[in-house]
Amino acid sequence: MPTLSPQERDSLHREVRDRDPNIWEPACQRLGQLAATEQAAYTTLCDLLLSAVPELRLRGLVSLRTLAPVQPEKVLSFLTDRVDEARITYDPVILDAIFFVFAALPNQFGQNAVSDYLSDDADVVRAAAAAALPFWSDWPQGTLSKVAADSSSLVRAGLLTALAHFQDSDDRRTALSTLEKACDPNLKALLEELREGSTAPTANLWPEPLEDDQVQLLLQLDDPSPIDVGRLELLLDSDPALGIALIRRDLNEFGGVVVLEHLAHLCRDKSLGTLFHAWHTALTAPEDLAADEYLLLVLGVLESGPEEIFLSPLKEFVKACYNAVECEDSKSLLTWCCTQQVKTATLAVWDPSALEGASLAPEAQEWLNRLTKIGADFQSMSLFQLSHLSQELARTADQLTQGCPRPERDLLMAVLANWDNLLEHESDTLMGGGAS
Amino acid sequence: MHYTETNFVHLGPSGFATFANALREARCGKLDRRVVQNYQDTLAERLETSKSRLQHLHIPNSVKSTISPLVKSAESLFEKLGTVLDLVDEYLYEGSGDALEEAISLLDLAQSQVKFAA
Repeated sequence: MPTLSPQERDSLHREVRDRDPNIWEPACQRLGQLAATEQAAYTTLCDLLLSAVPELRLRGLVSLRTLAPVQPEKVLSFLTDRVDEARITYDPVILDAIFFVFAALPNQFGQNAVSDYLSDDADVVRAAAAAALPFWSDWPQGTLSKVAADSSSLVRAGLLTALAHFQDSDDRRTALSTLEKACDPNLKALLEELREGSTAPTANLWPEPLEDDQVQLLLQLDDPSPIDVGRLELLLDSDPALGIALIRRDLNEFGGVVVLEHLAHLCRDKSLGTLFHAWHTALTAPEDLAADEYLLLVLGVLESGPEEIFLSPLKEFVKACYNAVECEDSKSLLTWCCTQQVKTATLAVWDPSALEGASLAPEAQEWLNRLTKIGADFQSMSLFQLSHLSQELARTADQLTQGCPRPERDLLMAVLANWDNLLEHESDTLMGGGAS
Repeated sequence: MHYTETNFVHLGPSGFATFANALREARCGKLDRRVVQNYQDTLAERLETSKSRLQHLHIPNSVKSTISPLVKSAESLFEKLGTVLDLVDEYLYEGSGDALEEAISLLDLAQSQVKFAA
């Protein structure tokens, strides 16, 4: 992202304060984007948010909404401070706007915060949280009816506006019935509106997920825009298997380790974040790292992630590769080959999800199976056999470059290189030259 | 059933690892017998494939003593799983609740054996 020149900064400063919405709205969007990477833009954004003029504070929140998916922790901290202030000053418009920004935070941040605010001591805060409920559709059963039983009219009114956006469900029906039974005169008009079905338009809170060809372009960039990485994360969130497949496809051709690093931090799904962290580690580890250390490094990343079934295939794969490089001689190599075949046959029947899944390229598992069979033809520790096995490994390495996608290819190449060294050393020993 | 990337969030009938839970659900009427039958068919096919793989495993003489116990352990596991399938057949076609109980117990027993083998 280009650095903001002093002229651009002045111009942006002016535009976000302009009276014309056609000027200030896009300027606020741009300010939010720039604030992700540009300290000067972030300072301008903070000036807006802390302005004494309510209208300017609102504009600051518009910018903040653009920044929220990219820097969730920073924005969450800012918002919680503003909610604390709102308990004292009570500006309902600002409060609603603050909760509107909560909705732009990735789920784990925004939804959890709003859930906590539903039981806040201040009814104005509970009301704003109730009105923000429709920004998420996966509330636990009973949430709506619980809010409907709130003692405050303000909260019930907030919920009524929210109910217009929820689809029919047991919880919604119970909540509505509770509100009707309460016979609150302040809610009469809102209840009638809801019965007539007049609903407010749903705000489009998120930028659009990236398209197929945009993923390709993004992965080629050395300095991708955080907003575009955020949009890629949206794609992964809506269709993880497709997102992973697209990244994997373009990773082979264009690299994209910078994007992987961003995704490792940005993904709201921890399993996906761990996957991309592992991919990034596999692709950027120092080349002179010993094979066992390299594989342990990747395994360490996976082990530090959540215990999710999604990561199991890649974890099992890396473990198998690590065991393969632990072989000290051709005999232990053969033992690994046979053990791995028995293990695969057992897992295939007991827990196939540990062998196949989106975290592991199907080709990679096939190549691993192929490696386990290479050793099976190896009968005795003769020079001829060692030489034959070495040739087979060299052939496999050539084919692997074309047939297996990254980053699994890199992991398998580490195994092959290790085995090649092992066989070379053993051949030298047999010839009486390298016994050390 | 072949597992594809579309199984990302919800894996369908998995391996024997989750079969005990499915049978427990069948025991308390939460799972339809047809679902158990489908599950059973998938697992029977998988078991045959894995048995065949094991039978065709070529073990070089130099590592036979190391690998044989592992193969025997896997064979014993597969035998248990075969018995599980027979018992589930009894449950499906004769309605035997005892057979269902025995199948669940055998699967629990197999769980520890798999941990050892893995």
